Parts: sequence; C-alpha cells; structure tokens
Amino acid sequence: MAPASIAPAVSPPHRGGPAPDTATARGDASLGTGSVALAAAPNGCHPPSAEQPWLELRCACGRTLHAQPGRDAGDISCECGNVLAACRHGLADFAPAIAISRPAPLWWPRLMAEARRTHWRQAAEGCLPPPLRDDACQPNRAACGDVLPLPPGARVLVLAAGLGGIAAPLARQFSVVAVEAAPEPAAFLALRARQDGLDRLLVLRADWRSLGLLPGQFDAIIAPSWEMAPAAPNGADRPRPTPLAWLCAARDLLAPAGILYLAAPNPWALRRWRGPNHVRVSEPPRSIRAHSYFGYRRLFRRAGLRLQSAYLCLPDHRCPLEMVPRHPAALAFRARHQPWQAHHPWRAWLHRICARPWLWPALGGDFAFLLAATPPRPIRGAAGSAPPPPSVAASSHPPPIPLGRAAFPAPNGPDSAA
Amino acid sequence: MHELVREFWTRTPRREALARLRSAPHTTLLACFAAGQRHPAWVAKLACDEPRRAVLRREHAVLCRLHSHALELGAPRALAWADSGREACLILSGLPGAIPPWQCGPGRLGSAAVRLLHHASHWIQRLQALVPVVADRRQAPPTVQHLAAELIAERRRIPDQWPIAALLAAVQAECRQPPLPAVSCHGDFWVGNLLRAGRRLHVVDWNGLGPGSPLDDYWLLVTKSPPPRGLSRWQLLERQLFRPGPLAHRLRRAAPCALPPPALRLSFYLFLARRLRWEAGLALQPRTAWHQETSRREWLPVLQALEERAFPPPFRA
Repeated sequence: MAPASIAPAVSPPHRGGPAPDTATARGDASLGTGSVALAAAPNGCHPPSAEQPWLELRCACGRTLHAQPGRDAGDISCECGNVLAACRHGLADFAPAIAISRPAPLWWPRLMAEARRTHWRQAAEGCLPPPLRDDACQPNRAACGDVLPLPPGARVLVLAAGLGGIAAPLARQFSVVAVEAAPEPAAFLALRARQDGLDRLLVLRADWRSLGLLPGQFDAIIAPSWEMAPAAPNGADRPRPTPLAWLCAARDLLAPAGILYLAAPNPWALRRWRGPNHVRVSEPPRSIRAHSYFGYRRLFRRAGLRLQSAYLCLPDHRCPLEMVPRHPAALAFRARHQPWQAHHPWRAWLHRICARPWLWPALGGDFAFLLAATPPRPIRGAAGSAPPPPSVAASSHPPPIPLGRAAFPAPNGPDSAA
Repeated sequence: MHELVREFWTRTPRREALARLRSAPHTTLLACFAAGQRHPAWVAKLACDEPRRAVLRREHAVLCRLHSHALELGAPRALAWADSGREACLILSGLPGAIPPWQCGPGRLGSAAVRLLHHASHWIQRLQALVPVVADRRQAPPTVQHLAAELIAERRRIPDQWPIAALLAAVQAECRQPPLPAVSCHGDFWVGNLLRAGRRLHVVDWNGLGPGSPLDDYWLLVTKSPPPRGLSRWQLLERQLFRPGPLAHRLRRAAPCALPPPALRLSFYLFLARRLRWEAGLALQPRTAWHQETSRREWLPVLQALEERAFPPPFRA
C-alpha cells in the first residue's frame, strides 16, 4: 500500500518500457509532468487529462494507441485506418462484431426512454425487476471498494459491469474503465455516467479479451460475478473461455502490485448462515471439488495468482452487506457481535462454535478473493519443477518486476501463507 | 477505501485482515484485526449521507469529551476523524468482549441477565458520577422537568400516527413535583451496544449521550428486549414493571437508584415519550419508514393499555 508503488492518478503511458511504435507519439513526460506539449490526437480523441480515464490498446497492425474517449469524442482509430471503436454518447462501442443471440427483455426500451426523460435511478426503480434493481441501485454492490487498499485515482477495470452498480460508485474515487458486452446495459451505464457527471468512468461495450488491451495497465481488476464470465453460456455466439484462461488473461492486465478482485458463489452455503436477505439465484449443480474454497485456491495457484485475502460475503456475493475475512479473530468477532444472540444463548453458543476458518468457508456464505500476480518462478530443473503459469500474451508482457508486498498487504494471514 | 482508513491500515503494525461488518444503506463499519489479537485493533465508521454524518459528528464530539474517562467507562477512544462534506469517517479504538446474554422470560430473569443488570447498574452510576451534564444556553443545571417541558413544547412535530397526547398530559401532570436533577445518560444503552469482557462492561455507540432522568438508561435496557414468543410487548412490559411478581421485584432491586413513586412515574413516562419520538424518526438517528411502521404497530397497544389504566407508576407494588 505504499503510495510509491501504486500507479499515480495519471500513470505513465508505458509501464513496461517505451513502446516502439505508437500512433499518438506522446512521450512519458507529456502525461506526468506536463513539460512536454501534448501532441494532437490523430485518432480524434481528446488529449489525456488527469481526470478522464484512458486506455492502452494494440491495433491489429501492431501499433500501440493511447485512447482517451471523452464524452463527445470521435471514433478511436489507428494510423493504419482501422477503426477500433465508435464513441457515441459517452459509450465507446468496440464490439460491432459480437452477436448476442439472446433478445433484450421487453422492458428495456421503456427503461431507456424513462431514464432519458427523467433520471436513471427513477427509471430503474420503476421499470427494473427486483434483482436487477438491486444490481443497479443498491449501494452495497460496491462493498469491495471499502476493502480495496487503493489510492484515490487508481486505475480500475470493472468486468461485466452490467448496470453500473459497482463501476459508478467506484468512479467517485478511482479512474474506472467499465466493460460490458451486452449493448443495452452498456448504453444504460453510459447514460448513468452522463447524468451523474462521472467524468472518471469510461464505458466500453466490448468483449474485454478481444479489446487488445496492453498488459500491465490496471491497478485493480474487479470481476463482481466471476462465475458468469468463464463457464456459463449466456447466449453469446462464441464459446466461453475456461476459468484458467480467463484468470490468466485478467492477470496479464494487472500492473505490478495490482489486485484482482473476484466474487464467486458458494453453492454449498447454508441458507440459515447466509442471513435473511439472501436472494436465491438458481444455479446449476457444481462440483464440490472445483467450487469450494480450496478448489478456487487451487485454480488461482495454477493461474499464477497469489491469494492475499479471502472474504465471506453475506448474505451473497452479488450484494454483500458484510465481508468477513477468512481470519479466526474476524470470524469469531463477527460471531460474538450479533445482537440477536443476546436473546438466544444456545443458538449463540452454536454460532460461536461454528465460526472457525475451516468450517465457515465451506458452509458460511459466498466468496470474494483478493489476488495478486505472483512473479514468474525460475525453472530450476527439468524434472520435478512446476511449469510457469500460462500466459495469453507472453510476447507483450512487461519485464518482471518484483511485487511489492508492502503495496497491498494482507501479508501474514493464513491465506497468504497458503 | 476511505483515505483515512487506508492511512490507518498502512500504519497498523502486524495487520492481517480488514472486515466490513454491519453495513446499513449509508453507513459502514470496518474492523481491522492484527496478529495475535482477538478483538479489532481499530474500528472505522463511515457515513455518506447528511443525517448519518451528523450522527457520526455527534459521536466524535462526545468521545472527545469523554477522552479522559474512556478507560473507566469502557468507552472507545476516538483516534481520527475526517469529514469531507460528502463522506465522514470516524476511527475508534477496538474494544474486547462479546454481547452478553439477556434472557427476560415472561415470569423470570435468567441468571446471566441478573448479572448483567448488576453490572449495568454500577456502570450507570459511574457514568452519572463521572460525566456532568452540559448546561447549554441555560445557567441553571437542567432538571428532568425542563426536559419534559422541552418535549411537550415540540409536541406538534410528532406526527398524528403516534397518538401520544395523553402520555404527554401524564408527563405534564408530574412536572409539578419538586425538581429532579437531570444526569448524563448514554441514550442507547441496550444490550446490543454492550460488550462484556469478564467483569468489565464496555459500551459502544455514544452518539446519544445527553441529559436525562437517572433511570433513563435502565429503562431502555429493560424495555428494549424483544418479547418472548407468544407474548405481546404490553404483556411483557406489564410483567416487568406493573404486575407484582418475582420479575418486577428483581428489576426493582436492580435499579441504579430508588425514586419516590411520583418521580418514578415522571421518569418512566418521560422516557417512554422520548423513546416514541425516537421511533417516529424525530431524534438524531434516522429511521426508515418500515421501522417506523413496525414500531408503531408494536407500541400503539402499549399506549392504549397504559391510557386505560391511567398511566400507573412502575413498581407500584
């Protein structure tokens, strides 16, 4: 958490050394100190500013672009003539090729019309069905912002941003890039950002893995409903990646000492322990080996990610009221401080007995994980050594920089030891 | 993460975990745990709307005032405070202990509850002795009669759904008694705000500290417990305070001070009127419409029953 090791509010454009061929031809100092005049943006975008988020992209021709799509910017295009995204009404549309075969719900046109006429919140409360209304409006959706040790102005990427329940609150503190593949929620989120005056929220309609994002450019990546992203088919025409490939792709985008926040359901959690506000979402049957705490941990290790902290999300991971770390003292403290226990001593006693780090992660509630990329391990010998974690963009990796444990410490916990 | 929380998190030696606990729509409680400790090293309260920021501001002011007595009273220390105009953050020292059991059955009091009453009674006396009442805009120290007059003066603010005119009339009738000096009261002294660690009692949530009658905290501790299954609020209250029996006898013996029946009557009905004002959302702490409606349904039968019995003094037998 040392400020020096965190990216400043305006990050240097090339973390892994100067890019050899940049379309906008800006020096490092042009963003940091302002001593060099900003070059005119040939792609029609605004010059980078401290407030608005920006992106580092790689075009198909191999050139690197620094795009800062503003409110009324034009298209993002490369010198080679390739148009990467069309910017309209605060939404950068990268994905004209993505075909979502699932039709939009019937209430979308009414929601958008109402939101344009009045305000997004009023429209959401009037038109959205209850689970989606909570997704959009419930302040606890952005609970992860309370436990992420990021400095103000850090660069955050929110994947599967949906209606903006997480991206919009975070954009009040951080510079947020929100990616959403479906066109309707992306349009709603762009409208929401415009109406709330969120200058530091950049909305992209895209499949984030095909965006061409340069690696190592985000201080935090947030995947609020990770189980939806890799494994479950949701109507998109293209096949979904495996969880391991998904995690490796996300890891590559992390800056040195960056954090990956994942929230995942625990299908084996007891309803009574979750609490009264839990909304049951129908889930497919899952294997206890893969979708338990230890199964997830095994997967993270294979993906080259180090588990910094694991949280129990109560009542569920989509809208957590409480986030209790998997730590003996924290679990015991939470178990001792429930006001209802004063009137039910036997249940209170049982509750305290069960508040153990080995039992609660199995049955207590959904999971949230804070992960950091592990440095690549040297290969000591051919036999008996673990292979290096797979990478989806090995050629474009920044040089390995030792991770600063002091930057995002939750250092001595049982999870980090594991 | 709030800037102040991040700074404290960085400075905490041997930190291990940060928990987000007990969040309400615009309030969040964070607790930091360090290695080898069973209770949090510090606790941060965050509020991001104006009513709750006002509550935090008030708690900070109270804890600064109590700083020298924090150890004796088992109160947390205010470690840091920031109010950006949009979000307020108060960082408090962590306290050991757990919420004590409080079983108040229809006819008896559990042994743990008896012990808690004993500790609570001593604690209330200690608070009244250590913390003098602040006389604001008034030269003479306030009396319970002054507080009653203030409440009666603002009766028009209380909405019509809460028919407490008869209750206020009963309070007004007792104001002719000799002046009863007001003392400092915690203001939210219920079992959920108490932490017992061995023989020590720690108390949290200090935003309601203010003048009151000597039995205000005791009334709140006794009456805020939910009624057991099968009993209504009035049936429990009747067994606790108005019907002779072992429960009322035990509660009367555990009271922190003995008052004559008229003063007892004034103290209890003034407490009840202030409590209902709080339930109606007119006090410092905001109440949601759902909570107000639930409380109204629970307390209206109590008001009607007391009115039928002409507001008897508690512990009459």
